[in-house]
Amino acid sequence: MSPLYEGLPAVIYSGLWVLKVFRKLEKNFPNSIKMAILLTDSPPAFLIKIDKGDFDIEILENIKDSNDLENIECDTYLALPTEILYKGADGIRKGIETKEVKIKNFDAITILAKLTGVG
Amino acid sequence: MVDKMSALERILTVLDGKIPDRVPGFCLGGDFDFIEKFMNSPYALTDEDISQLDKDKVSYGPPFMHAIIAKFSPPEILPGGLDAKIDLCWLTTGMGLPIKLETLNDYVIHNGGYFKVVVRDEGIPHWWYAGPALLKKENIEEYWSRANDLRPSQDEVRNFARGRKNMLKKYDIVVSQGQPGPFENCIFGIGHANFARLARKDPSFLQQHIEFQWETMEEPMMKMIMKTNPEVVMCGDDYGFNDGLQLPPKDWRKFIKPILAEYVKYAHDGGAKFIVHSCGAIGEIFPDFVEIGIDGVESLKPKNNDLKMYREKYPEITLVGTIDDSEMLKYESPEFVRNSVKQSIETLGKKGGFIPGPTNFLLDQPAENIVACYKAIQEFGNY
Repeated sequence: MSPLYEGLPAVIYSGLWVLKVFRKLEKNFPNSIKMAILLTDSPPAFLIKIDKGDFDIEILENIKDSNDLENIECDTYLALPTEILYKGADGIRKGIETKEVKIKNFDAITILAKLTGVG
Repeated sequence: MVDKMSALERILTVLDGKIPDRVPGFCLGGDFDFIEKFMNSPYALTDEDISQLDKDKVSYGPPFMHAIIAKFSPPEILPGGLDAKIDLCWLTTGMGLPIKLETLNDYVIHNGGYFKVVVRDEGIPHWWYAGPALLKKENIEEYWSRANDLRPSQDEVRNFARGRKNMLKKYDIVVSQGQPGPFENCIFGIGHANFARLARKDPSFLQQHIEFQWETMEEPMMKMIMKTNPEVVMCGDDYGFNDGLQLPPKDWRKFIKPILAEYVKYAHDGGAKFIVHSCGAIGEIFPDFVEIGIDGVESLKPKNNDLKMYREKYPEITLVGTIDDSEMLKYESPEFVRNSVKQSIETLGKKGGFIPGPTNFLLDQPAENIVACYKAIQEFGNY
């Protein structure tokens, strides 16, 4: 049996799952959101879709380069190496300054922090 | 039934070797599977519960699931509570973000092991340790060179302390504060085979590794935890398989016991009680637990441990857990669970020294059985 998701998509899914099970997803995300994330050293990208208290994660098999993210219909995206992801929000902000992180709409950082910090 | 003691008085009385007003209940926590089952059961948190739990800033996430533990409260604490009070639960640190080791070209967690997050076909997430990464000396030496990246964060401990104090104040539940123990930190990083080989062929290298983890991660974490004044400290350190220890007792005494004794000393010096969580058959080292002053031992699956003998021979140690979670709580009926808990209290809890609860994190047991377990502790636990 192969898992549905592994790695970062699974971590994000876990955060969304906890929020949904405890009926907190809509409260935390009242507006629908489409956010793409690409770990540049571990492609492909994936798309997080949150709408009306439900969610879905779609693996974007063809999106392997940060330039390809321009072609995705989404509200926000983030492309970064794993090493910077593991440095947290401050590391991501520094990565944006040094151009190691590509971002569309700074909401991406808040959304990521919300989903990885579910406790 | 009106309790005569607070949960804290009850737990400290038991761990002091005295008899409290009634037998307290314990829950280690629960995984995603249990949360799924519980939230689809008649006992699920209601919108009113969630509203109060949110107001009280209770955490929801696995594996500690304090919100679900709070649901077992009596109605005077949580109006929708199940009136099957849990007195003691757990919160242990994870020790920071993964680090990349060049000799592996991969990321490892603080102890040098791999950690995996997957979502299974049916849509339920699962997080677990996935194996040791530090299989060669060069990996271990590179890990040592990353000491600065492995030091624990005071922020995490402060956040945990806030959650702990909140649970006690708002829900009368004692949260034991913890961190991983020295054996798990070592074995999760280097693996059992390496441990056995180094213990035999290069004991000074193994000693160096264990001391590195103590000085870099474990001792600083103990200092940070004790700064937050916990009432009870519990460290997770599985020493047993189903039929015996994972390592020869002489190796446990040589490499692990001295560090575990330091954990106990830090807790006691800070005025806290100390419980060790250890799965498996661990009877061989019970006399050592007494010697280093451990107050309670948790897990104690009855199939693997002679609990009656522990109770008689080691009255200094409180038995925590002991309610079989992998077979009885999973497969039997609520009535069977009720009778089994009654029997356990009669056998092990007559003179105090007993804090029953499921032996490990709840996984896929029916919610009815877990409720039956805590209801039975209330029903049969009066002294």
